[in-house]
Amino acid sequence: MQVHTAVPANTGRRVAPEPDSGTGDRQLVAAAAAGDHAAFEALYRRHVGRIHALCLRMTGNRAAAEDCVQETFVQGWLKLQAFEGRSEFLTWLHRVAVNSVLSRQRAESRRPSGHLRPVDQDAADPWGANPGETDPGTDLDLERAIASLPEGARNVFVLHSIGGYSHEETAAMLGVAVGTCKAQLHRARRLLETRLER
Amino acid sequence: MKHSERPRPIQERARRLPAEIPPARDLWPGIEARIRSSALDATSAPLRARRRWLPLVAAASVVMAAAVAGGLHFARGPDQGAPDRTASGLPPAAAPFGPGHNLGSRYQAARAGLTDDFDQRLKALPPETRASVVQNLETIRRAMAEINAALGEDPANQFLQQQLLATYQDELTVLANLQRVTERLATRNEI
Repeated sequence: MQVHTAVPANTGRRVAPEPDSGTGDRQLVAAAAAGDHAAFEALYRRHVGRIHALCLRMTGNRAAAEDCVQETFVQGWLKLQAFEGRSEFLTWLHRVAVNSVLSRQRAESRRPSGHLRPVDQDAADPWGANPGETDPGTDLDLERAIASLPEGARNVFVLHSIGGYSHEETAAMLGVAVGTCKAQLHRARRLLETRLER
Repeated sequence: MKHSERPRPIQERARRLPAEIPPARDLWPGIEARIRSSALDATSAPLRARRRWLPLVAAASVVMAAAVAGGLHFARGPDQGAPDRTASGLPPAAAPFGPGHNLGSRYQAARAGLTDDFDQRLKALPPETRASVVQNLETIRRAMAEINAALGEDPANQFLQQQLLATYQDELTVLANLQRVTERLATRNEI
Protein backbone atom coordinates (compact mmCIF):
# COMPACT_ATOMS: atom_id res chain seq x y z
CA MET A 1 0.00 0.00 0.00
CA GLN A 2 1.33 3.39 -0.96
CA VAL A 3 2.43 5.56 1.94
CA HIS A 4 2.11 9.21 1.15
CA THR A 5 5.10 10.30 3.21
CA ALA A 6 7.22 9.26 0.23
CA VAL A 7 6.27 12.58 -1.35
CA PRO A 8 8.92 15.26 -0.79
CA ALA A 9 8.01 17.60 2.04
CA ASN A 10 6.92 21.14 1.40
CA THR A 11 9.75 23.61 1.82
CA GLY A 12 7.52 25.83 3.93
CA ARG A 13 6.25 28.06 1.18
CA ARG A 14 2.59 28.82 0.83
CA VAL A 15 0.91 25.70 -0.48
CA ALA A 16 -2.01 27.42 -2.13
CA PRO A 17 -1.77 27.55 -5.93
CA GLU A 18 0.98 29.94 -6.86
CA PRO A 19 1.37 31.76 -10.11
CA ASP A 20 3.36 29.49 -12.36
CA SER A 21 5.30 30.63 -15.36
CA GLY A 22 1.91 30.76 -17.01
CA THR A 23 3.09 29.92 -20.47
CA GLY A 24 2.81 26.16 -20.17
CA ASP A 25 -0.64 26.13 -18.61
CA ARG A 26 -2.01 28.85 -20.87
CA GLN A 27 -1.07 26.99 -24.02
CA LEU A 28 -2.46 23.73 -22.70
CA VAL A 29 -5.66 25.40 -21.52
CA ALA A 30 -6.16 27.00 -24.92
CA ALA A 31 -5.65 23.68 -26.66
CA ALA A 32 -7.91 21.83 -24.24
CA ALA A 33 -10.63 24.44 -24.61
CA ALA A 34 -10.51 23.74 -28.33
CA GLY A 35 -11.18 20.08 -27.63
CA ASP A 36 -7.66 18.67 -27.33
CA HIS A 37 -7.93 15.76 -24.88
CA ALA A 38 -4.16 15.22 -24.85
CA ALA A 39 -3.65 18.81 -23.72
CA PHE A 40 -6.16 18.35 -20.92
CA GLU A 41 -4.43 15.14 -19.90
CA ALA A 42 -1.19 17.09 -19.65
CA LEU A 43 -2.94 19.56 -17.35
CA TYR A 44 -4.23 16.64 -15.31
CA ARG A 45 -0.75 15.11 -14.96
CA ARG A 46 0.66 18.48 -13.99
CA HIS A 47 -1.87 19.31 -11.27
CA VAL A 48 -3.44 16.08 -9.99
CA GLY A 49 -1.03 15.89 -7.06
CA ARG A 50 -2.14 19.22 -5.61
CA ILE A 51 -5.82 18.63 -6.33
CA HIS A 52 -5.69 15.17 -4.79
CA ALA A 53 -3.89 16.49 -1.71
CA LEU A 54 -6.65 19.04 -1.23
CA CYS A 55 -9.47 16.53 -1.75
CA LEU A 56 -7.84 13.89 0.45
CA ARG A 57 -7.34 16.25 3.36
CA MET A 58 -10.81 17.80 3.09
CA THR A 59 -12.64 14.48 2.80
CA GLY A 60 -10.35 12.43 5.07
CA ASN A 61 -11.25 9.44 2.93
CA ARG A 62 -9.27 8.00 0.03
CA ALA A 63 -12.20 6.72 -2.04
CA ALA A 64 -14.11 9.98 -1.62
CA ALA A 65 -10.99 11.94 -2.54
CA GLU A 66 -10.56 9.98 -5.77
CA ASP A 67 -14.20 10.58 -6.66
CA CYS A 68 -13.79 14.30 -5.99
CA VAL A 69 -10.60 14.47 -8.05
CA GLN A 70 -12.36 12.84 -10.98
CA GLU A 71 -15.37 15.12 -10.58
CA THR A 72 -13.04 18.14 -10.41
CA PHE A 73 -11.33 17.39 -13.66
CA VAL A 74 -14.55 16.44 -15.43
CA GLN A 75 -16.15 19.71 -14.27
CA GLY A 76 -12.96 21.49 -15.23
CA TRP A 77 -13.28 20.14 -18.74
CA LEU A 78 -16.96 21.02 -18.97
CA LYS A 79 -16.36 24.58 -17.75
CA LEU A 80 -13.09 25.19 -19.56
CA GLN A 81 -14.62 27.37 -22.20
CA ALA A 82 -15.94 29.60 -19.43
CA PHE A 83 -12.44 30.00 -17.90
CA GLU A 84 -11.46 33.52 -18.77
CA GLY A 85 -7.86 33.36 -17.57
CA ARG A 86 -8.19 36.14 -15.00
CA SER A 87 -6.59 33.81 -12.47
CA GLU A 88 -4.06 31.06 -12.93
CA PHE A 89 -5.54 27.78 -14.12
CA LEU A 90 -4.54 25.89 -10.97
CA THR A 91 -6.12 28.54 -8.75
CA TRP A 92 -9.33 28.20 -10.71
CA LEU A 93 -9.14 24.40 -10.63
CA HIS A 94 -8.53 24.53 -6.90
CA ARG A 95 -11.84 26.31 -6.45
CA VAL A 96 -13.59 23.74 -8.64
CA ALA A 97 -12.13 21.04 -6.38
CA VAL A 98 -13.35 22.77 -3.22
CA ASN A 99 -16.84 23.04 -4.70
CA SER A 100 -16.73 19.38 -5.64
CA VAL A 101 -15.86 18.37 -2.08
CA LEU A 102 -18.48 20.68 -0.57
CA SER A 103 -21.16 19.35 -2.91
CA ARG A 104 -20.31 15.82 -1.89
CA GLN A 105 -20.35 16.72 1.80
CA ARG A 106 -23.76 18.40 1.47
CA ALA A 107 -25.20 15.48 -0.52
CA GLU A 108 -23.89 12.90 1.94
CA SER A 109 -25.43 14.74 4.85
CA ARG A 110 -28.85 14.38 3.20
CA ARG A 111 -28.67 10.79 1.97
CA PRO A 112 -29.33 7.50 3.72
CA SER A 113 -25.65 6.79 3.08
CA GLY A 114 -24.90 9.36 5.76
CA HIS A 115 -26.02 6.63 8.13
CA LEU A 116 -24.00 3.85 6.51
CA ARG A 117 -21.11 2.27 8.34
CA PRO A 118 -17.64 2.51 6.76
CA VAL A 119 -16.69 -0.83 5.25
CA ASP A 120 -13.36 -0.17 3.58
CA GLN A 121 -11.04 0.41 6.54
CA ASP A 122 -8.22 1.55 4.27
CA ALA A 123 -10.48 4.26 2.95
CA ALA A 124 -11.45 5.10 6.52
CA ASP A 125 -7.74 5.68 7.32
CA PRO A 126 -6.40 7.27 4.14
CA TRP A 127 -2.84 7.57 5.43
CA GLY A 128 -2.33 3.80 5.81
CA ALA A 129 0.61 3.90 8.21
CA ASN A 130 1.65 1.06 10.47
CA PRO A 131 -0.35 0.99 13.70
CA GLY A 132 2.83 1.14 15.73
CA GLU A 133 3.93 4.53 14.45
CA THR A 134 2.99 7.02 17.16
CA ASP A 135 5.71 9.67 17.05
CA PRO A 136 3.87 12.98 17.31
CA GLY A 137 6.62 14.67 15.34
CA THR A 138 5.78 12.85 12.10
CA ASP A 139 3.67 14.39 9.39
CA LEU A 140 1.59 11.23 9.34
CA ASP A 141 0.25 11.85 12.81
CA LEU A 142 -0.72 15.40 11.90
CA GLU A 143 -2.39 14.16 8.69
CA ARG A 144 -4.40 11.61 10.64
CA ALA A 145 -5.31 14.13 13.29
CA ILE A 146 -6.55 16.49 10.58
CA ALA A 147 -8.59 13.68 9.05
CA SER A 148 -10.25 13.12 12.43
CA LEU A 149 -11.44 16.72 12.77
CA PRO A 150 -15.13 17.59 12.43
CA GLU A 151 -15.96 18.47 8.84
CA GLY A 152 -16.35 22.23 9.26
CA ALA A 153 -13.14 22.62 11.26
CA ARG A 154 -11.27 20.35 8.86
CA ASN A 155 -12.37 22.31 5.80
CA VAL A 156 -11.20 25.58 7.32
CA PHE A 157 -7.91 24.18 8.56
CA VAL A 158 -7.06 22.58 5.22
CA LEU A 159 -7.78 25.72 3.23
CA HIS A 160 -6.31 28.26 5.63
CA SER A 161 -3.47 26.57 7.49
CA ILE A 162 -2.33 24.19 4.75
CA GLY A 163 -3.57 25.90 1.62
CA GLY A 164 -2.50 29.34 2.72
CA TYR A 165 -5.77 31.09 1.90
CA SER A 166 -6.69 34.14 3.95
CA HIS A 167 -9.66 34.10 6.32
CA GLU A 168 -11.65 36.10 3.79
CA GLU A 169 -10.78 33.77 0.91
CA THR A 170 -11.47 30.68 3.00
CA ALA A 171 -14.81 32.02 4.20
CA ALA A 172 -15.83 32.92 0.64
CA MET A 173 -14.92 29.49 -0.69
CA LEU A 174 -16.84 27.74 2.07
CA GLY A 175 -19.79 30.09 1.98
CA VAL A 176 -19.51 31.08 5.66
CA ALA A 177 -18.94 34.29 7.54
CA VAL A 178 -15.36 35.32 8.31
CA GLY A 179 -16.13 35.11 12.03
CA THR A 180 -17.35 31.55 11.63
CA CYS A 181 -14.20 30.72 9.72
CA LYS A 182 -11.99 32.08 12.49
CA ALA A 183 -13.96 30.22 15.14
CA GLN A 184 -13.66 26.96 13.22
CA LEU A 185 -9.93 27.50 12.82
CA HIS A 186 -9.50 28.07 16.53
CA ARG A 187 -11.49 24.92 17.20
CA ALA A 188 -9.38 22.94 14.74
CA ARG A 189 -6.11 24.04 16.30
CA ARG A 190 -7.35 23.28 19.80
CA LEU A 191 -8.52 19.81 18.80
CA LEU A 192 -5.29 19.07 16.95
CA GLU A 193 -3.15 20.14 19.89
CA THR A 194 -5.19 17.92 22.18
CA ARG A 195 -5.01 14.92 19.86
CA LEU A 196 -1.30 15.28 19.25
CA GLU A 197 -0.38 15.73 22.90
CA ARG A 198 1.91 13.14 24.51
CA MET B 1 8.76 11.14 21.36
CA LYS B 2 12.24 12.50 20.84
CA HIS B 3 13.08 14.62 23.87
CA SER B 4 15.66 16.57 21.94
CA GLU B 5 12.92 17.95 19.70
CA ARG B 6 10.32 20.39 20.90
CA PRO B 7 6.97 19.97 19.22
CA ARG B 8 6.54 22.57 16.52
CA PRO B 9 3.46 24.70 16.63
CA ILE B 10 0.59 23.25 14.68
CA GLN B 11 0.62 26.10 12.20
CA GLU B 12 4.29 25.61 11.34
CA ARG B 13 3.86 21.87 11.00
CA ALA B 14 0.84 22.32 8.76
CA ARG B 15 2.80 24.57 6.41
CA ARG B 16 5.42 21.85 6.06
CA LEU B 17 2.97 19.18 4.90
CA PRO B 18 3.51 17.99 1.33
CA ALA B 19 1.92 20.23 -1.26
CA GLU B 20 1.29 17.32 -3.57
CA ILE B 21 -0.02 13.83 -2.86
CA PRO B 22 -0.40 11.68 -5.96
CA PRO B 23 -3.43 9.39 -5.92
CA ALA B 24 -2.72 5.70 -5.37
CA ARG B 25 -3.87 4.92 -8.91
CA ASP B 26 -4.06 6.71 -12.23
CA LEU B 27 -7.45 8.40 -12.39
CA TRP B 28 -7.05 9.69 -15.94
CA PRO B 29 -8.63 6.71 -17.78
CA GLY B 30 -11.89 7.19 -15.91
CA ILE B 31 -11.82 10.96 -16.38
CA GLU B 32 -11.13 10.60 -20.07
CA ALA B 33 -13.96 8.08 -20.45
CA ARG B 34 -16.40 10.49 -18.84
CA ILE B 35 -15.17 13.40 -20.94
CA ARG B 36 -15.54 11.41 -24.14
CA SER B 37 -19.06 10.42 -23.18
CA SER B 38 -19.96 13.91 -22.16
CA ALA B 39 -22.66 15.67 -24.07
CA LEU B 40 -20.71 18.85 -23.38
CA ASP B 41 -17.53 17.81 -25.23
CA ALA B 42 -15.73 20.98 -26.27
CA THR B 43 -15.65 19.89 -29.90
CA SER B 44 -19.42 19.90 -30.15
CA ALA B 45 -21.89 22.79 -30.06
CA PRO B 46 -24.36 23.96 -28.93
CA LEU B 47 -24.36 23.09 -25.20
CA ARG B 48 -26.93 20.54 -24.19
CA ALA B 49 -28.51 19.76 -20.82
CA ARG B 50 -26.08 18.65 -18.15
CA ARG B 51 -26.02 15.06 -17.08
CA ARG B 52 -25.26 13.79 -13.66
CA TRP B 53 -22.46 11.26 -13.42
CA LEU B 54 -21.98 8.22 -11.28
CA PRO B 55 -18.66 7.55 -9.59
CA LEU B 56 -16.52 5.39 -11.81
CA VAL B 57 -16.30 1.75 -10.90
CA ALA B 58 -13.62 -0.76 -11.88
CA ALA B 59 -13.13 -0.49 -15.63
CA ALA B 60 -16.01 1.18 -17.40
CA SER B 61 -17.70 4.48 -16.66
CA VAL B 62 -21.46 4.46 -16.23
CA VAL B 63 -23.72 7.35 -17.02
CA MET B 64 -26.77 7.82 -14.88
CA ALA B 65 -28.49 11.05 -15.66
CA ALA B 66 -30.54 12.77 -13.05
CA ALA B 67 -33.97 14.06 -13.90
CA VAL B 68 -33.47 17.42 -15.53
CA ALA B 69 -36.08 19.85 -16.72
CA GLY B 70 -38.76 17.28 -16.04
CA GLY B 71 -37.23 14.68 -18.35
CA LEU B 72 -36.68 11.20 -17.02
CA HIS B 73 -33.61 9.23 -18.00
CA PHE B 74 -34.96 5.94 -16.96
CA ALA B 75 -35.93 3.89 -20.00
CA ARG B 76 -39.60 3.83 -20.56
CA GLY B 77 -40.91 0.33 -21.05
CA PRO B 78 -43.58 -2.08 -20.00
CA ASP B 79 -43.89 -2.57 -16.28
CA GLN B 80 -42.14 -5.90 -15.79
CA GLY B 81 -42.72 -8.15 -12.84
CA ALA B 82 -39.41 -8.54 -11.06
CA PRO B 83 -38.32 -11.85 -9.49
CA ASP B 84 -38.12 -11.88 -5.72
CA ARG B 85 -34.40 -12.65 -5.75
CA THR B 86 -31.69 -13.18 -8.33
CA ALA B 87 -29.77 -16.41 -8.71
CA SER B 88 -27.01 -14.98 -6.53
CA GLY B 89 -29.42 -14.24 -3.71
CA LEU B 90 -29.03 -10.50 -4.21
CA PRO B 91 -32.36 -8.73 -4.56
CA PRO B 92 -32.83 -7.41 -8.11
CA ALA B 93 -32.03 -3.80 -8.91
CA ALA B 94 -35.28 -3.08 -10.67
CA ALA B 95 -37.31 -0.73 -8.56
CA PRO B 96 -39.28 1.20 -11.13
CA PHE B 97 -41.12 4.25 -10.02
CA GLY B 98 -44.48 4.77 -11.53
CA PRO B 99 -45.93 2.65 -14.28
CA GLY B 100 -43.90 2.24 -17.41
CA HIS B 101 -40.44 3.14 -16.02
CA ASN B 102 -37.45 0.82 -15.58
CA LEU B 103 -33.80 1.36 -14.89
CA GLY B 104 -31.67 2.04 -17.95
CA SER B 105 -29.74 -0.76 -19.63
CA ARG B 106 -26.36 0.86 -18.95
CA TYR B 107 -27.09 1.05 -15.24
CA GLN B 108 -28.25 -2.56 -15.29
CA ALA B 109 -25.04 -3.59 -17.05
CA ALA B 110 -22.87 -1.71 -14.57
CA ARG B 111 -24.69 -3.23 -11.64
CA ALA B 112 -24.46 -6.71 -13.15
CA GLY B 113 -20.71 -6.24 -13.45
CA LEU B 114 -20.47 -5.46 -9.77
CA THR B 115 -22.75 -8.25 -8.57
CA ASP B 116 -20.84 -11.07 -10.25
CA ASP B 117 -19.66 -13.41 -7.53
CA PHE B 118 -21.44 -11.25 -4.99
CA ASP B 119 -21.99 -14.13 -2.59
CA GLN B 120 -18.38 -15.29 -2.81
CA ARG B 121 -17.09 -11.76 -2.27
CA LEU B 122 -19.31 -11.34 0.74
CA LYS B 123 -18.13 -14.63 2.23
CA ALA B 124 -14.49 -13.56 1.79
CA LEU B 125 -14.96 -10.62 4.14
CA PRO B 126 -14.26 -10.66 7.87
CA PRO B 127 -17.53 -11.14 9.79
CA GLU B 128 -17.75 -7.58 11.06
CA THR B 129 -17.12 -6.12 7.62
CA ARG B 130 -19.64 -8.51 6.06
CA ALA B 131 -22.23 -7.39 8.58
CA SER B 132 -21.54 -3.76 7.69
CA VAL B 133 -22.02 -4.41 3.98
CA VAL B 134 -25.25 -6.29 4.55
CA GLN B 135 -26.55 -3.59 6.87
CA ASN B 136 -25.64 -0.86 4.42
CA LEU B 137 -27.43 -2.61 1.56
CA GLU B 138 -30.48 -3.15 3.72
CA THR B 139 -30.53 0.53 4.64
CA ILE B 140 -30.33 1.45 0.97
CA ARG B 141 -33.04 -1.02 -0.03
CA ARG B 142 -35.37 0.37 2.63
CA ALA B 143 -34.73 3.87 1.33
CA MET B 144 -35.46 2.70 -2.23
CA ALA B 145 -38.73 1.11 -1.12
CA GLU B 146 -39.82 4.20 0.80
CA ILE B 147 -38.99 6.61 -2.00
CA ASN B 148 -40.66 4.36 -4.57
CA ALA B 149 -43.77 4.21 -2.43
CA ALA B 150 -43.82 8.00 -2.24
CA LEU B 151 -43.29 8.25 -6.00
CA GLY B 152 -46.15 5.86 -6.54
CA GLU B 153 -48.40 8.57 -5.14
CA ASP B 154 -46.56 11.49 -6.73
CA PRO B 155 -44.63 10.17 -9.77
CA ALA B 156 -43.83 13.62 -11.16
CA ASN B 157 -42.04 14.74 -7.98
CA GLN B 158 -38.55 15.67 -9.19
CA PHE B 159 -37.03 15.82 -5.71
CA LEU B 160 -38.10 12.25 -5.03
CA GLN B 161 -36.83 11.18 -8.44
CA GLN B 162 -33.42 12.70 -7.68
CA GLN B 163 -33.35 11.11 -4.24
CA LEU B 164 -34.12 7.73 -5.80
CA LEU B 165 -31.36 8.13 -8.37
CA ALA B 166 -28.95 9.14 -5.63
CA THR B 167 -29.91 6.04 -3.68
CA TYR B 168 -29.21 3.82 -6.68
CA GLN B 169 -25.84 5.55 -6.88
CA ASP B 170 -25.24 4.74 -3.22
CA GLU B 171 -25.90 1.06 -3.90
CA LEU B 172 -23.36 1.03 -6.71
CA THR B 173 -20.86 2.74 -4.42
CA VAL B 174 -21.31 0.07 -1.75
CA LEU B 175 -20.96 -2.69 -4.35
CA ALA B 176 -17.87 -1.03 -5.81
CA ASN B 177 -16.32 -0.75 -2.37
CA LEU B 178 -17.04 -4.44 -1.80
CA GLN B 179 -15.26 -5.29 -5.02
CA ARG B 180 -12.32 -3.06 -4.14
CA VAL B 181 -11.96 -4.51 -0.64
CA THR B 182 -12.19 -8.14 -1.75
CA GLU B 183 -9.68 -7.58 -4.55
CA ARG B 184 -7.28 -6.10 -2.03
CA LEU B 185 -7.82 -9.08 0.27
CA ALA B 186 -7.10 -11.45 -2.62
CA THR B 187 -3.82 -9.61 -3.35
CA ARG B 188 -2.70 -9.82 0.26
CA ASN B 189 -3.50 -13.53 0.45
CA GLU B 190 -1.28 -14.15 -2.53
CA ILE B 191 1.79 -12.63 -0.85
